Amino acid sequence: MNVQDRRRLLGPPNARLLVFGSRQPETADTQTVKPADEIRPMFLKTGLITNANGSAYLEVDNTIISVSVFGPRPIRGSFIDRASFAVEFKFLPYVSQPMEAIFECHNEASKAAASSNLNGRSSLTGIEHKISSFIETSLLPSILLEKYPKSSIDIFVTVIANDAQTNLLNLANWAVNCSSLALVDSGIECKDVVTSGHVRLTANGNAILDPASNSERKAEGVAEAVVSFMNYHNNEIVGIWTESEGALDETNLSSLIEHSKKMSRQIRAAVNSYMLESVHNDD
Amino acid sequence: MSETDSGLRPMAFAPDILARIAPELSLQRHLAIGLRPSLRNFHEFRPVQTGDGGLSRYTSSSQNDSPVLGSAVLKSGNTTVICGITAGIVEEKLSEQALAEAASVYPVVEIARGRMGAPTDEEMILSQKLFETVHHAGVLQKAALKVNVGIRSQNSDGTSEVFYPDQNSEDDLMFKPSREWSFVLYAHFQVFSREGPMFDLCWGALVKALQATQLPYAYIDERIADIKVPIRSRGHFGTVRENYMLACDYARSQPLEIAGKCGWSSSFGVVDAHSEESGDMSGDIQMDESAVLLADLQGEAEETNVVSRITVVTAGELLHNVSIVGGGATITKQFLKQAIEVSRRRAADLLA
Repeated sequence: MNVQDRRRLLGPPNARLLVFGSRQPETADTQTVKPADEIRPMFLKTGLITNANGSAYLEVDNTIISVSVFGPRPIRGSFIDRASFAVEFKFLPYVSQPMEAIFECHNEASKAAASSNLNGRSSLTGIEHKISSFIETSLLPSILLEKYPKSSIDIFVTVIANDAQTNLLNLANWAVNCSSLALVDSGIECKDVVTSGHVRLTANGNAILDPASNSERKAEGVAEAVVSFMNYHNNEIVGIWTESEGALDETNLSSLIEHSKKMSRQIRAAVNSYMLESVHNDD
Repeated sequence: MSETDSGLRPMAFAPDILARIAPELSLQRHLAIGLRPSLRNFHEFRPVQTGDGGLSRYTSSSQNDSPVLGSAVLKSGNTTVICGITAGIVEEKLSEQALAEAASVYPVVEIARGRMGAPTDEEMILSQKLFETVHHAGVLQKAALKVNVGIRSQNSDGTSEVFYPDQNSEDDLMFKPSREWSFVLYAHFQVFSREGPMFDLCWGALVKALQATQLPYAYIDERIADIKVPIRSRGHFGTVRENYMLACDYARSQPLEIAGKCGWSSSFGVVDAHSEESGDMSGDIQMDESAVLLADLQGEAEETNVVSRITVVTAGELLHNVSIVGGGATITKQFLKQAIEVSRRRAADLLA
């Protein structure tokens, strides 16, 4: 038995992780390329999780994200005049994380504890921390925290399925949009619904909206960004995350922001129509 | 007249509010009219829907590199359980006798409840119970978890080929590996909207996931074998360390062999129902207590007030597991018989 973790049944400590051989060359998959100015179709649903105050569920291609919002809940301890806000973004243990190798998902301690059993991971990985804090940054300005003194609002994001090829920023983008919808479902007072967009600029200055995989990037991408907006609140930027090959100049940055705004408005339109429809259905 | 003078008026609450502030009272009032707070009959279960979840590398439409070997999604009422089976490889040489022994899976249950940190008591107890029930049900045998090890050989034209003992004749396999390996199965459960008896739902998801599980073939990949040669220097001896790397075949797999029938789990609660027969206005209430058996407890009123529980895991005739927790109403032999009878019929329905 595993002596490191007595709270979970992790099996024999000398077990090793399965390593799969390389795939046969003839089964190379054919990726369908979507037009650059289109967003992939998505499936949205709120209220599936009944023991949370609000919840949202999102599917885009093979990515499935489930968000639950707990709060406002009373806190223990001393008085605070505004709600505390926290986001936990988590992959199910067997879901492959984007850029796993680069981020060294398992730090040394947890690697030793969970050499083969992925279920033994008890702390967040680097990627999870990064996306958690991005979602937190994006949503924080929209929530009217001062309305909820001595309470806490917690958002739990779970990635149920994901392709290994999915781009990190793309996942962050959908996680922000889904969390924002869950926040609306919870009825917590907000200034505006935050939506975000993900754009990649190619070397010749073209913009690709919602680029799903990393594979295109090596060939043509020079810079990409996820930008979160409060679209009906003077298009305020509430979160920005850029990645680029080399330095990012001003024209590229403004182009990224402009196209992200375009995409976030499209998603906002979808979220709006979803919300209107669900109100009609409730009647 | 006297009522208005004292200023005390009887208060009336909507059913959902009463259920929250006085769950016991709400439960008893429902039972008195022959119903439960969930409006189900006493012996009625919530419907259960299962699906394969599509998380497994063998079931999803596109080929992927997911480590999941089998998955299942179970939905009952609002509660959703997502179960994913992954595996590890451990080197062990087992005798004939050991191969016939029962094996188990190592489950980890996570119930989404809006808290971070260490697993709760409920999660730990559930995991342990799932582990033990699989072991005692004898549905998994160590023989079924043996790794089917092949050998990869490089042909003269540069292509490589893998020979497996069950698909190639003895002649092709001149060099059989002398070591043996076994799979260790891990199960992870993610529960959303927790409500009702969790063991039933987790067990159901586990059974479905195990039935969908495919174990990959594996071969010794001599290119990544790590053989350390012993070195002696200045009186220090290094130890011989051979580290064969087993690589799993990308596409080839076989279904996990399940011995016998996996049972289905059904939970019951026993509670005393006070039938209120108020005679006159004097406030004399005659209590007539009779216990009732409730299937598949659901909701706050039932889960907090019904302490006596029976859980039966059965596959028709065989009983895999029966657990009885007392503390509330007395569980009589009659109830036990009734619970087993209902579970048998339910298992026969669901496993058909």
